[in-house]
Amino acid sequence: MSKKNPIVILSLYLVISIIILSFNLNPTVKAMRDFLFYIVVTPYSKVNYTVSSVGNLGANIKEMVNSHQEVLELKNQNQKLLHDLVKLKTLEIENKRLTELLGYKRNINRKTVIARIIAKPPQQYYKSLLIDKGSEDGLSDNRAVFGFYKGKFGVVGQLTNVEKNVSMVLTITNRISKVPARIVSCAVDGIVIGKETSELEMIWIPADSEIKIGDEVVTSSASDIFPSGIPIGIIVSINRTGHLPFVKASIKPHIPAFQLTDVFIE
Amino acid sequence: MKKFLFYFTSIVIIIFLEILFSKFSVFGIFFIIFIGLYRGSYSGCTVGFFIGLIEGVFFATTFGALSFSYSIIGYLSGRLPKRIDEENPLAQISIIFFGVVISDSINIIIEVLFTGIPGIFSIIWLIIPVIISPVFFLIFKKWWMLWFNRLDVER
Repeated sequence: MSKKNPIVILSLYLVISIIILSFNLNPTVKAMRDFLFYIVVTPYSKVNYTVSSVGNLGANIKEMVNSHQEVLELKNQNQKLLHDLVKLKTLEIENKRLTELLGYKRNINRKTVIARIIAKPPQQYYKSLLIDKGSEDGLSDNRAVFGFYKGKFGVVGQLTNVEKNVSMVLTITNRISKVPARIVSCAVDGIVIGKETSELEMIWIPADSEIKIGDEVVTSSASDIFPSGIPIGIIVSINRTGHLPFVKASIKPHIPAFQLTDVFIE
Repeated sequence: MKKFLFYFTSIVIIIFLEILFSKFSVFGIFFIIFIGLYRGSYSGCTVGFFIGLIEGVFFATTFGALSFSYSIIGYLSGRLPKRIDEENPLAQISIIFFGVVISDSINIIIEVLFTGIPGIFSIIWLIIPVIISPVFFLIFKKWWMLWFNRLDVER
C-alpha cells in the first residue's frame, strides 16, 4: 500500500465501496444524513436569518420612526378629541341648564333677571353667594333673590353690595337676615331669621296660634323687599318653651341656596 | 501531519460549500481532479474516496456509489499523460468535463446494478461550473500555496 502503487490503494477503496454498497446502508445513512443536516443547516439558517434581519435594519428603523410619528399624531388627535369631548359635555350641561332656566322663568310669571352663581366661598356657607350680574345689568341693593330647585320656587335671599359686574347675595340662612313671613295654614305672621345652618327659625309666632309641623311658610306683605306669598319653607319643629306668649318654629327652606347654579332677581 | 490537516480542512470546507450550494455540488469533484492532476493518483483516489464517502452521507441516493466513482476519477486524473498541460484552462475544462461525465456514468451503472433504479444523468446544470472550472483551479492553487510553499506536479 505504498504511495508508489496507487492501483493498490484504488483497489482497496473500490473494494470498501462495493462492500458498503452490498450491505445497503441507505436507511442508516438517511437517518445520519437527517441528523447531520440538522446540525449543519440549523446554525446556517440562524445565521442567514440574522444576516437578513441586519439587512432589514434600515427598513425596520424607518418603519419604527414612521410608527412613532403615527403614534404621536394619534396622541395629538386623541388629545384634541378629548378636549372636544369635554367642550361638548360642558355645552350639553349649559344647554340643559338654560333649558331648565327657561322652563322655570315661564313658571315664575314675573319679570326677573337670571344670574349665575360664580362663587360659593366655603367660609361664607349659609351666609352669602356671589353672582355674575351687577349694576350694569340694572341690579341694585335690596332686590329679592329667588331660586328654583326640584320644581319648587322659593326665596334665596336679597342683594347686597352690588358692584359693576358682580353682586353679593345675602342668603336667608345668614344670621343677619330677617324676612317677614306668614304661616299659610293659620295666617299667622312672624319673622324668619337665619341660623347659619341648613334650617331657618321663625320667631314671634303667637303662642295660641294653631300651627303644626308641615305648615307652609311664605313671605308676608309686611316686607319691603320680598313680594308677598313667595314660599320660604315648611315647619319641621315647634319650640314652645318658657312662659312667653310667643313660640319659635324651625323651618326647612325649600331652596338649598348652596346647591343652586342660577338665581332669579326681581 | 500538515498534509493531513490540509486535506481534512479542505474536505470540511468543500462539504460545507456543497451543502450551501447544493444545486451546484461540483466542488468535490473539481477538488479531486485538481489533487489528482497535481498530486498524483494516490492522493487523488484517497481524497476522492473520502469526499465520495462524506458526500454519500449527505447527497447520494445509494451510499457507497460516490466513493466508488470519485476514487476512480481521482485515480484517473492522476494517471493522465504528462504531455497534457494541467495549467492550460482549456485542458482543465476538458478534463473536468470528462471527469464529470465519467463519474456520473459510473454512478448510474452502480445504481442500476445495486438498486435497479437508474439515476438521472443531467449535464446541463454542470455546464456553467465546468466552464468556470479554471477559476476553481486557481482558487485551489492559492489555497494550497497558503499551506505549502510550492506545488510540484507529482504525476
